[in-house]
Amino acid sequence: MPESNNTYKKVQPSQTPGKEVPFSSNMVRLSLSHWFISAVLLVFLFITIPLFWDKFEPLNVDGDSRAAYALSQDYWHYSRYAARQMKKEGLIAVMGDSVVWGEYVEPNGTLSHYLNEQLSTEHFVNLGINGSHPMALSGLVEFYARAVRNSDVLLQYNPLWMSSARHDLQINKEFSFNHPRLVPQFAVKIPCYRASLSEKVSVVMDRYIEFRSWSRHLSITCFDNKDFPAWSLENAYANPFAMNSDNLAQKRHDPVSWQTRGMREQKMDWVDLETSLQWAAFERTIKTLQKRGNRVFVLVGPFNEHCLEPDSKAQYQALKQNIGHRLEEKNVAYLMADPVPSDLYADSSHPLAQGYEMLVRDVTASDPFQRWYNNRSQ
Amino acid sequence: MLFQTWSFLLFFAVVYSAYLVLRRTRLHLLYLTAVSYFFYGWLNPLYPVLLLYTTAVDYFAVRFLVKGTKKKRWIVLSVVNNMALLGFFKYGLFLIDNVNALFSSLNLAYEISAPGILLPIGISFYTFRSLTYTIDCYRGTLNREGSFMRHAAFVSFFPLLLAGPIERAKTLLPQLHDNAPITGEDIGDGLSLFVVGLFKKLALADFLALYVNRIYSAPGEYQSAALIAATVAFSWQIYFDFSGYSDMARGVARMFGFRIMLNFDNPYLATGLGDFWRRWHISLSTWFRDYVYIPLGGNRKGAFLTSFNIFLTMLVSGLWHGAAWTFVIWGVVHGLFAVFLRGLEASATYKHKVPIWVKRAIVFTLVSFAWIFFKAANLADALLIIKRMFTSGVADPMLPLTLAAMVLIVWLYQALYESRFKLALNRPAVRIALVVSMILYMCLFTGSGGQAFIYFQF
Repeated sequence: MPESNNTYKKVQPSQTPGKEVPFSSNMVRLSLSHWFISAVLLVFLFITIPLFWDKFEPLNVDGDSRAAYALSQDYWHYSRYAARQMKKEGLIAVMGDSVVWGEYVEPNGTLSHYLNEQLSTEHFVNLGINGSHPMALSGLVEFYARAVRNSDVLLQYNPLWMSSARHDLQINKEFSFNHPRLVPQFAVKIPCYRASLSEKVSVVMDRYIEFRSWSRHLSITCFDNKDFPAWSLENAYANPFAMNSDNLAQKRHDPVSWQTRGMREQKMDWVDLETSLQWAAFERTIKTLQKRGNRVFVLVGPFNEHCLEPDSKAQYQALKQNIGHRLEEKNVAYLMADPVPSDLYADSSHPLAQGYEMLVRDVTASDPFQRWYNNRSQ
Repeated sequence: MLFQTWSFLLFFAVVYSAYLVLRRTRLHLLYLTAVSYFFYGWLNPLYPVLLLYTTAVDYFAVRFLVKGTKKKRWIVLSVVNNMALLGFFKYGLFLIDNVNALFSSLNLAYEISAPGILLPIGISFYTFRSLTYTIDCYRGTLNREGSFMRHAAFVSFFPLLLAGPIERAKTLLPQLHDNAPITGEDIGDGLSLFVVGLFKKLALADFLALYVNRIYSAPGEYQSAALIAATVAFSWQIYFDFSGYSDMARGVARMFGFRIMLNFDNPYLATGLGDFWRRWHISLSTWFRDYVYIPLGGNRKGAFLTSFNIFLTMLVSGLWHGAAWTFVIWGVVHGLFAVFLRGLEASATYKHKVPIWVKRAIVFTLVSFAWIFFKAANLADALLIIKRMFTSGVADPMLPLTLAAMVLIVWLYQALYESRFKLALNRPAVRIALVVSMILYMCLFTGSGGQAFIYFQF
């Protein structure tokens, strides 16, 4: 290499060679005013496309309808379903996890069905969501169930979610649980939830920008719950917008009792109410609903106490008492559901159709429910 | 932190807002350096230590080089230090693997244990960028930078840190010195570059990657048509991936008021391999031209030595890309093709009679063929792919139609851009429609956006 003889100086601010740099190898170059026009256009499209789609995609609901099992993770669909269900005045939303949804029963064997049947009314609508848990329910209510505003809500609490540190999402080891997109992303620390910052921000964006939750709906209904590239790899020549109706079919497990299923009595390490993440989330849900003008009635259970070992059962009774005290302190109408007969449970918390029927008989006959129901907003 | 993630957008929003406030103060260089180190440290907290080391060694090497009489000593120190860093982190494992393989073939019961070194992302890019400062100062084509902070901001400038472009000191340092005002044009252009880059990465490169990876991960299970389709798809994938990153990097830099060199110029419209390398990874090609090819003698020492110099430069370029025999072979294949095409281009018949689209097709075919070595997991896979391309049956390649259509549209756009109809693309309505369509497509159809860029591994 040549040895230079020049005199070295500090760089002087004399030249800006970058000025002559070619912009790009394409013509896609917008000025600020062009960007403004593009932004306005995008906002218009972001708002109108989901609205248009809502009109275009059929969704039939009736008294016994429930959110489709295959669309459990489709919160745009849930939001639309809730809005369609709650269209009429004076309806009562029955909300909760798969116990409300009816994991082991047909749509005409659910809690809301029997409430309607035994009270000879059509007020109760099933807004349960499969695979949900209190932490997810709090997100669902806050962001995707705005349609229940000012209505009466029967909110079911399933103590199963406090039956171990794992159920309560308290363990430190990361594991995959249902509905991670509904749980608090930043406000509450969930030890087993380790999504990256980008994933969390993406979830938050979904909640506030309807277009994004609608695009997830599109992925679920059109692309087998995959993103478009992954789907088209498996369907190289298929029409991307042909909706897969198989996906929408409702599914359920066989309606057999827990003993027939081979389950045995279990020991459960109930978590403390004071430290329970799931219970804290449930309290937040009640608060959110009350702020929105909802009259809330809480139904605790019906947990399958028959499947508990004696020690666990004793702990569970104490827990139930504590839950009752907490609800009383907060002045929330509630009922601790008595367990239905053992053979009417399909597992540790889901009744079979007959179990729901029996449960509803007890609920409707109870004083707290009658007081709440008879004073409902018309 | 990847450009296409929400965490980067958050980072950018915070960093950019503060920069707009600080940029006219004395703190702006310190701030730019600090955020660049934070950006790099996000990937691994130890990375910035290495970056600081390179920065300090080169800064002081030039300082002593300028003051002292034994200039060669200091430039050798800088070059050897940078090459040693690359050698240790990038080629250490490769060397050990090969030495162990040699021992094994000689039946020697000795094995060097792998040191478990992690390749710091972007090391090839920032060492080369830093070398442009020391070498140009040594040659006397660049004046010494007196401020350590400005030098540190130059080496670590975060948009260029992970995968270039390898902007030269002589163009970036003066811009850091000038601290020119950020105009509306800078912001508009920066956003345009960023969105196009994002589209290339999320909508095209990541989509193509799904198809390519499926076939290249098990080449023995696929037949000729699928292997050819995957090879062509990879040619486009690597282009969209890397040029997408470059566009985004240039866009971010532009929004900060810096103009960074064009790194890709529609390379698949090249009519010769020389033309291809003037369009592909331009910042690296020109680096090798200026710091390897020309010092070797370039084309000044006769036809044979010119061909030899081209071949050698391509071989070194191959090694720069990665520590594996496949990259070495990729460089060798490119070197051989370059020499071959150079000979062909010397003939008047090829030059004047062969239609331009045939020349383009030849270049695309040769480049795509060479990419086989670049993409394949190992040499055996590369050879298997080539063999099966010519010997296996022609089963349906199952290439997604939408993917093929998208690549075709981009190719047509580029062809139009280089034709006399170019001005049709320049209408504001066309440009706005393109940007809106790209953003809508990304919001609707792209995946999670978590795939790293191919060039991060280099």
